[in-house]
Amino acid sequence: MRCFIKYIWLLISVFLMSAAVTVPASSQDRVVVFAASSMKDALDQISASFEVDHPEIDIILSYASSGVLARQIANDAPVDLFVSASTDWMNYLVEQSQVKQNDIKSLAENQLVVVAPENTSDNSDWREILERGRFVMGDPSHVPAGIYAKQALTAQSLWVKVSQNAVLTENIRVALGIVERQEAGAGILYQSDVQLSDRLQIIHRFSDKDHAKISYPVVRLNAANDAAGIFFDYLFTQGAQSTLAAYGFNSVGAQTASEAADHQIFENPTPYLWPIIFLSLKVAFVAMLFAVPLAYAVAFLLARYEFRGKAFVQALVMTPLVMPPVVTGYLLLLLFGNKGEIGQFLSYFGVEFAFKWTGAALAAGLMAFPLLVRPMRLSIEAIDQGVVDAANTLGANVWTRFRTVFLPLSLPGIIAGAVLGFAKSLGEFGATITFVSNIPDETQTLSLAIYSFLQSPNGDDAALTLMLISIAIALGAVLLSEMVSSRLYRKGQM
Amino acid sequence: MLNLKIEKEFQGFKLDIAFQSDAPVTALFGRSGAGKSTILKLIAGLVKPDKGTIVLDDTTLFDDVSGVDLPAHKRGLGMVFQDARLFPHYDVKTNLTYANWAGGRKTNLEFSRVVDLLGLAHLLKRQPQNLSGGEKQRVAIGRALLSNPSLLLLDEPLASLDIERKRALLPFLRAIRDEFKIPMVVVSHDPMDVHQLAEHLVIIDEGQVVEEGNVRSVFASHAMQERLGERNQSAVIEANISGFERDYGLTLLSVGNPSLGATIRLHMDESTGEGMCRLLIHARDVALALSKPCDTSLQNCLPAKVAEINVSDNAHMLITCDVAGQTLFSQITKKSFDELGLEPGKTVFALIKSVALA
Repeated sequence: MRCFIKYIWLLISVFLMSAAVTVPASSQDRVVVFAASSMKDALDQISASFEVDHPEIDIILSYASSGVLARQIANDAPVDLFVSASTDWMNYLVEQSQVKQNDIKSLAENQLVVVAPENTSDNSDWREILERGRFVMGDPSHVPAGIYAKQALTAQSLWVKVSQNAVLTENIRVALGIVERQEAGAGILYQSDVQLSDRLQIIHRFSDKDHAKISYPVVRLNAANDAAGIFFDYLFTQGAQSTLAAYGFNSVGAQTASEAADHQIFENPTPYLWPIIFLSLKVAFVAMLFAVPLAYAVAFLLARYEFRGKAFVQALVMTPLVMPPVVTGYLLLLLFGNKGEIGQFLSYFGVEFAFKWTGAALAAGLMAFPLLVRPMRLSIEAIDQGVVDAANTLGANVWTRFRTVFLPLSLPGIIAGAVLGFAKSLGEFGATITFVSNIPDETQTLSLAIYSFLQSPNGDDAALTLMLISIAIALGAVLLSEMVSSRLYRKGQM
Repeated sequence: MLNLKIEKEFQGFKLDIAFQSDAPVTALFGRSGAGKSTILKLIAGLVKPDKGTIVLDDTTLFDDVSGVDLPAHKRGLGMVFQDARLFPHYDVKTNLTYANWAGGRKTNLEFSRVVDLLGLAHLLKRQPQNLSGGEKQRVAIGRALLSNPSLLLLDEPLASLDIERKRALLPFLRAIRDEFKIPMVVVSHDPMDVHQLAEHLVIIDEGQVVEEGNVRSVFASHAMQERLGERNQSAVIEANISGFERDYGLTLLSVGNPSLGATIRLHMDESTGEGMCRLLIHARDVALALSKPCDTSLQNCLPAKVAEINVSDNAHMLITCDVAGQTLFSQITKKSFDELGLEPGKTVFALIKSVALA
């Protein structure tokens, strides 16, 4: 017993000692930096060398799109420094009284370029390449790189001619990946992004006159944190600026960003809501049209038959429910993309998924699949084998038994599954945006549109309207299914 | 003519059955778990035998040697399950006509005649869950009848019903036997149910045929008496209608040749004048006398000969008597037995307190 108590004491003292060791670390000065994703590689290196010079200061970097970060800061996120990829989001914070205009400084500038895959044999002029085939760019409704690209193409009188070839992406790194994999013939990116890849070549550089200045403003938010001031100043030193240059940014030296902040690059989003709603319903409906019969077949197989590998099939069916949607989306892109095995095969039959609304339907159907199978399977399993036997002795063959017994008796399960799946299809986000991107009028369904509007400083109203509509549709669908199934129950189905 | 010889092994239980019957109604009788229901399923084609043959009239339903295995929906049999198994999503009328609209079977039976006979006319629009147990069972019977079956298989059609409903349903089954003349195989664990319907009785125990034959001879067998138990030992007697005492509303039934004087008086609801009747007589309802008693209310007094003497329990003896070549059991106390000095071959009079028409 005494030995045991001794052991406990030992454990406690070890615990206290380890706590004591971490105490100095927590008292170390921390600087929390929110930065636009495009700055990641450069800022990672700058903060690493800063921490060598200032071991007492811990730099914590958090990257996301400028819009997301700005909205979090507007909601009082505990952050010391904010590096934005556009001046608009800085202005948004000024309006929200989170920062003062005079505190904003321009950290770096960037340049817009047209790139093609490194090993392309196509030596045509960049204009011809854009006119001829698919190319990627950021979504001009809310992605800054897309806004600049649209401005530049408009200045070059190309936008009207080539806009139908544009694949609009959410994230410029995704756009980069698409060109690297040759899913598209070209892309309009930042010079700093191209620096990261050795599989791309620059075929054109836009002039500064073609688009608004691409500026990266930085602001210090917490005046009380001295360490933040030290890091802020460090960003404008020779060393930090040359690191930025090495990553393809144009160094600007320490200058106030006030003149850059005069113009607004974000357009006021004009929400054409009906096309978005119509497209969402179309995608969800087509997804269900194909997924429901397939799901019923799988549910039937799982409910009625024993076979080798049943557990595996069961697990496989449930995976979309538990797998990260972005993984599902990326797998779809690899398989069904224009370079994917299945995508290439299907293109012989004129079926195309990549960056098409059909792809959105495929992603939605796949993500909704587990939700369809489960209620269907339960309703099939609930059917009394005795009733099936009775039908058999009354002369009903396999198909007739299916038509007159299984189908009507599992109808409540089919309806429940279809409604759940329909609602899921309307709300699908992660897999869709990864697979087919966020293209207005093609793949931009409700939740993607809501997301897009939230990315823009002026999109709140449109986003709210769409949110209310999606809530209404979801509620309506569930109510409808309740009504249908209660009617079936009244009729005495079960 | 149903000819059956099958083997089936499942879950450690072995079924090895062979019997044939051309009776209008064949009853399979035995304890629950004896394999009776499985035999029906094997005949219906819902369970596949390991080996053997099932032949109905000229049609081979199953033969493992020649590889014949007609699927259930092509066997043209009607099956009535113990638990009715109506289609819960169709109303009564749609259930009744299922074999026609889903199974593609045409029947010569008139729909209205079946509906009237089974008393279903007022139920046609109802959903199955709004029916009582007896009503469900009648719909199930009607549904099977209307499938134009060459053989009707009934799995404990009366077991799930209370006494009242059982009494109500039995006449329907008898009417089907007599009116539609569709041969039936009935499974039951209660001999009191089967003796009223069946001519041919098969006793099944642990997957084997223990006793088989016409109802009278099977009831007379030890195997049957064993299964009936102490309280219910009884015999089935065949008797011919030989006359009437109309003033008293009684029918005279002769056992064997009328000249032997073995006459039973009985009140019958539906006296048809001529013909053979089967009577179920419990051993406990039969007393024995050495001479013909004259001052007693008991009317039924049959001359008999003691055939066999068995000890029934501590206080009782079971006396097997021969009445005009048929077997009758009498259960009497040991005291009476000693006082009467009964021994095999001795002539006695069997006094019968009550008689049930079978």
